[in-house]
Amino acid sequence: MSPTRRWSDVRGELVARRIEAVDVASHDDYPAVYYATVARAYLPPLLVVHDADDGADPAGIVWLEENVTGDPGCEPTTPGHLADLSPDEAVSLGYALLAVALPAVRRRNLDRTRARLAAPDAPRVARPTATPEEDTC
Amino acid sequence: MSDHDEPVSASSRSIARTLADRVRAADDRVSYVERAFLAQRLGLAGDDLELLVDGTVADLLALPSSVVLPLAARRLLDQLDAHRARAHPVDLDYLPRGVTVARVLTDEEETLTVALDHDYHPGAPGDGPAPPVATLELERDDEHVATLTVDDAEALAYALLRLVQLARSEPLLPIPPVTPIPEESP
Repeated sequence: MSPTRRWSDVRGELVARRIEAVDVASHDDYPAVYYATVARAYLPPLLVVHDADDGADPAGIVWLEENVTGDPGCEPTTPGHLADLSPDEAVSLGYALLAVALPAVRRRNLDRTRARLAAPDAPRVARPTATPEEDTC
Repeated sequence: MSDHDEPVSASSRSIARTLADRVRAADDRVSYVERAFLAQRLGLAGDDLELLVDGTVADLLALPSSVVLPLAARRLLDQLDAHRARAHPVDLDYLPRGVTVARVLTDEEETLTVALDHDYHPGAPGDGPAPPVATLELERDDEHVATLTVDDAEALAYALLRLVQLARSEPLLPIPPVTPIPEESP
């Protein structure tokens, strides 16, 4: 018995849509290069570059850079260059980020919902609005 | 049980009981229509609607969260374990004061650390101090790499996963579900 499976499956669907929504683009001149820009509040955007044509590693390399305005297909720039990651490290870091971020997102949303439900003028489950037709109990 | 002890409408009570019964029975017939209807009754929208399909419905429908949430945590750990054969282990620690830390040991025996800090106050140029936000610090061998809000961290995680998936031409990797936040000791 897995009472949470249905909820997490739906969650997976939501996550899949969000992944598609991340602005991932391929480089015009280098087909092995894909990159994504992650906007941040109050901070410069992050650029994530996956170069699958890196000569040193057939699996490629993932660059994490900050505040880069140049060509994402070029070599990592400094001082905006933050980290080199292998693809496996990048995946692990992705999971680590999700493992820490998702509970915080959930708690924040739950706090917002509770505050909304606690507001005097907020719609509430407790509102006795049933009509005789709706009362099926 | 729920903190909502006020009288509820018969229709809301009926829907809530139906949903609760189906969840307890591991029944997959809870439809989007029913969830949308319930969300409307609760006045939820946007991110809050996600709550409804996210397991947090337990809080809203008086479901026993003590049953639902640990199972979600177990699924996360199972999925991370399953992924270790290919990627690197992710160690999760829940520290006092609500701090959550995830560590990844890399090929080069470096440690990537993602730590949640609830007290970060971002600077808002020209607008004075901004309210505190839950922020993640990304470090490599204790050296600061980047500061992220939880939303930024989520987006970065999806970008990393998506890019690697594109390069490998693989289907979507399993995504860990939302995990519970352990209650702090008094």
